Amino acid sequence: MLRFLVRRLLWMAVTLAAISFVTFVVIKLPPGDYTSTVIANAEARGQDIPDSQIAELKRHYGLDKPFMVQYLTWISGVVLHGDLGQSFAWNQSVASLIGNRVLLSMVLSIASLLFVWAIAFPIGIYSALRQYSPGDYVASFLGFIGMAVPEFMLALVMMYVGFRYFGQSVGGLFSPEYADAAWNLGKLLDLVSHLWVPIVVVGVAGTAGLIRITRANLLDELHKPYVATARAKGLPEWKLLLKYPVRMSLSPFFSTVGWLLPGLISGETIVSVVMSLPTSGPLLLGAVKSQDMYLVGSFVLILSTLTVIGTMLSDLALAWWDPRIRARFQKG
Amino acid sequence: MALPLLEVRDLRTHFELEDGVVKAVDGVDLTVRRGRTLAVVGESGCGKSVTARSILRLVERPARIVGGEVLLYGDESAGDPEDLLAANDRRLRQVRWADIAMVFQEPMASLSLVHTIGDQIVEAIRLHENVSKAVARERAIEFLGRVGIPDPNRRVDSYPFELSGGMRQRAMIAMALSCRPRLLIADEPTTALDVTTQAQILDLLQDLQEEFGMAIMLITHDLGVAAQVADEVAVMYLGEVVEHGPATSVLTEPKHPYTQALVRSVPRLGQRGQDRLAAVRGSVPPPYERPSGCRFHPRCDAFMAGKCDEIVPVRVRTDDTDVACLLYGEGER
Repeated sequence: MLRFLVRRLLWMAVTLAAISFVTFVVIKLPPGDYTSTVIANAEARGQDIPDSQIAELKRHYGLDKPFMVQYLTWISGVVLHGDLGQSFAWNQSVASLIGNRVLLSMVLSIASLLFVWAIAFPIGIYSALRQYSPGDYVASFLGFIGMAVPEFMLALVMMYVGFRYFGQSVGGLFSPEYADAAWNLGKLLDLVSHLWVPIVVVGVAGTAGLIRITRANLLDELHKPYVATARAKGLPEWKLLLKYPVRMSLSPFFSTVGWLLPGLISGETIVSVVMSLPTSGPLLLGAVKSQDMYLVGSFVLILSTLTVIGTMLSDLALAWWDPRIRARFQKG
Repeated sequence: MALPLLEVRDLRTHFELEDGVVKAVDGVDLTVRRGRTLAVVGESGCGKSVTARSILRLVERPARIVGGEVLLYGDESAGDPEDLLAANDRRLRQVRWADIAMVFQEPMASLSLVHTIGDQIVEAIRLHENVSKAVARERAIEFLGRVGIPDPNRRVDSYPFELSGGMRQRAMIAMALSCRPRLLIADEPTTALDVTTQAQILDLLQDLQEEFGMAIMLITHDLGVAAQVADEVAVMYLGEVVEHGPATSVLTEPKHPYTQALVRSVPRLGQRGQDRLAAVRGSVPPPYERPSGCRFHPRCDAFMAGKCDEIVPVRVRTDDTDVACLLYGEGER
């Protein structure tokens, strides 16, 4: 098992190195660089920036150096000093810029994840056990609607309803009076009263999808012979269903749980833009548009790291959950 | 003759499908005697397995038990038998495994792959007896050893996928015996195993029967298996029992033309190579259309026109065997 872990960790390092390089190449691919954005902004204001000043800017940001030098400077900073570089547009270190938002992103994502699980698993299991019952049809119907309605649409409707009928301030995570206040109980309650809207908006599609997946997985298991054996042993129906087929049906779920990790900080971008939530998604979108390359590069690197770690965690979770997988890991 | 332990009377289990009703089991009568082995034989699709599952009411939608009685007799001193089809769920769960246990065809699929063998046996014991986990585990180890699993102290913590097919079926048998049932229903227990393992498992079942004194109902399509272990044989065709009697009589002097054809179709060692193997003529009719009169008449060599296709034969005692055939008795129009 230890050998397996060490080998996996080594592969993770190789994968991340490759990803960081490819990311950097992709960022540099479009014509122009951050100075193009500066020039465009200046022109939009009716100003003209002299060539000497542009050259000065390029030197300042290190954009005049060869590609490999830029990459190596950045990546060695990341690896050796944990320094993610500067954001041109915000004129701040990337770390402080992202750090502010990542916390809120994670609060939102984890809350909506719990919301999804708490609702989808019981409904999915019920749907499978009572296949073709009225309850199953209702769940399927609502599930398809949930999957079909775009999130931004749902966000707009919920904001309208919140404002029109509950008098809530629209968008954001805080009411204006708390936005810049220090943390206290009032601010926390204010956050909670705002947070449920994005949680529901973000969670609806996920809930709908997970209901369908849980139902399908469980239906595959329900009529296997080992369920008949358990029934023949005299186990009460609900007990045997939860112990045997439901447990088996969750294996595919564990193999995908790791993919949720990167989603925790990058997901929900569109919803965040629509509802003007101070999460990390909109920041990434803006950075890509203005070719703020170290910000984008660091973002992608963090997401990749989370993906790779998530995959590893989900393999470990699966090994913990399913003895067949565990046996295979121990052999290899 | 030993007293009856289980009597199945006029059992009917139908599959209610969108295209119509398939009468998989349609009036089955069987008797299993105390401490004896009854083999239920017949072609695929004749309703053997559905009969076995109906006894413990294990059939699932779209199958439904629509009629009949499954009578389980108590101790010799006890009075009237109890009809399992009329029992409430609670009572039925008590009977399952404690009185009647089952072994299924595919040992890989019938055990949960994500629970250890010990866990699954201990669960069965503790469902029916008020014993501690430690005691139940001791008994699980004892039974695993008894069914011939080497190193049972270690194997009790194995998962089914870590064992060979034969070992898995032994573990399944150990689990079935763990509550010392009075009847063991074995549904094609050796079909998924190779011939050597098959013989070992059959020997084991016979040894265990002697040791524990339980009755066995063995479902098989293999007349050789039936001949090896059965005291009595019931032959099924299209959801009915057509012949029921002592194994020696049924297998050596079969009365029903279907049983005769089945016995002829078994290859024998020493049979001359150029002889064609006799098969039962024709094939099983489509499930939605049961033939009128005697259901076997379209395939029967002794077909009597105007009689077999109109009159439904009733089972009559001929020598020591019950036969449902118009050659031996009358029937109902």
